[in-house]
Amino acid sequence: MDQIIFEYIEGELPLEDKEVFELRLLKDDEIKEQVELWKVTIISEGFSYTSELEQKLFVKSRRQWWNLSLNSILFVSFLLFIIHATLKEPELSEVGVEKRSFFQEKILRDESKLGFNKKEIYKYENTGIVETPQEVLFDTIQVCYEEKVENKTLHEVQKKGLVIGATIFLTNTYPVKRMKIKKAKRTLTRKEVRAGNRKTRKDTERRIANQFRKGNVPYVVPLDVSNF
Amino acid sequence: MKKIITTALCCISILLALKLSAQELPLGTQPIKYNGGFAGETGNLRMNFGSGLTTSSITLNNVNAITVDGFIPKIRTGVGVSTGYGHSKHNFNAIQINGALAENEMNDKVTFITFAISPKLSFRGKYTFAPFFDYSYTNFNSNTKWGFLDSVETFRNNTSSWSAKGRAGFLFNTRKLYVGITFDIFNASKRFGNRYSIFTTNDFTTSYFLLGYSFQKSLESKFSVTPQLVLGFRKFPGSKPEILLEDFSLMFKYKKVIWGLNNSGVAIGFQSRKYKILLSQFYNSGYYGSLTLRYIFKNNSKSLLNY
Repeated sequence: MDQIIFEYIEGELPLEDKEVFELRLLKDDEIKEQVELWKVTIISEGFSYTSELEQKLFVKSRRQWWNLSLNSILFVSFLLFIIHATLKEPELSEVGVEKRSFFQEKILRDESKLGFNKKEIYKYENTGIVETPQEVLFDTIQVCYEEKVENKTLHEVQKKGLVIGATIFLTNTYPVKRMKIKKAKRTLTRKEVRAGNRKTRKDTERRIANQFRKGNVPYVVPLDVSNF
Repeated sequence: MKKIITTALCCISILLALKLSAQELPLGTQPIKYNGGFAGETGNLRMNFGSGLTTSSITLNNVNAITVDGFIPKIRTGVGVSTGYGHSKHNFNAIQINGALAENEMNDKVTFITFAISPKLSFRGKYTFAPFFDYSYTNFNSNTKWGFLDSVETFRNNTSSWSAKGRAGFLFNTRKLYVGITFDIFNASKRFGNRYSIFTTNDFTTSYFLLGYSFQKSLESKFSVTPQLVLGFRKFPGSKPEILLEDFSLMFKYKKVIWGLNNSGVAIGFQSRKYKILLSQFYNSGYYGSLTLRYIFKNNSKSLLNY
């Protein structure tokens, strides 16, 4: 019965059933009271769909486009810069030595801050070690730095690169390997050796004596049974 | 179980030692022989055994001694017992007495037992002072037979004696050094013959001075030299005191191998913190040899040996 009343109030009853129900309403007072109670529960406010609500809340962000475009511009400009730097022909100096590329300059500048003596050696894999970079078609190169510490020479293989034409493409960086300087063993004098042995002996005797003091009496200090 | 095996080994070594020869047992075989302060000196139960034999064309001497000493922590005292047996046989055949051929045979037997008690006073974990008192009892029996070869008649003589001696003194030791003094308190003896018995309290006194030191670079050093000395002072009534070298020992040790000289001859052996085996031999118109065994039992009492 509640279902029928609900459908009647909602206006979803078919016409035939509606006419029968209305005839019954006129006759039955109980049904009439229930219908009145049902009518009180009807919400009179308007209904809004969620899609409409979403559309109201949705705000197009212009900042995302701005960030994306800025990042892309920066990336493209960086690429162009790199290409320009690498493809730029090095200028020849008066002496005939090629000017170093951007990466080489940067490396040298960084290393110079450390303040150690260095001598740049260009080592070509196919042609050998030379002191000045040479124009080759294709070769691998190692930029080595020679460091002098306390009259000992340490070679550091620092950068590895690829030479195409007269341009050096420095690709990988390797950790600096330093030769270990072995410290000479300190030789003790006879006096120091005797003093060390005496100290060891006295420490042993003191330790043994303390063990007796801590332990329960009685105790016995025997002769060395390994000798007597 | 270990004690049983060790005792059995000692008994077996007694049988083996009958083949050896020695004039006297080496110094250290009977720790309480000269000074009772060595009783319980190690802080643990110690067992020493020595056997010696001397053989020559006319003599056969054998002596066996066993010493057991230990330390009783409750009364801070060391006690020791030493007992031994000696047998000597001399056979003189075809000797001339006043132009006549005679034969002489002597059989001597001696047994002895010694008790020693020595309270220990250790201080600073370095020194031990041990006064002592010991009592020894010796029983001697001699059987002599002699007669002329061309006569049927032979003579026999049987004498025996016992002596009791009480001594006192002290022993002072560290790990590497010991110094001891022993002097007689009383000395009594009684002799029995075929028809007589004489009881005397001997007036002569014998004192001993003991000294020993272990030369070693450090405690961990593998090589060591250990000289030991026993001087005897004898004083007879009415005569000047005599100083005698009673016993000596000079032992070298490398790792666990020991060698050196002692009163029994040239010695070589093996020594560790528990075991000691020493074989001494000497040749001089006869064969002298001795075997010394020592074993120290480890216990739970506080002792430097347990560290």
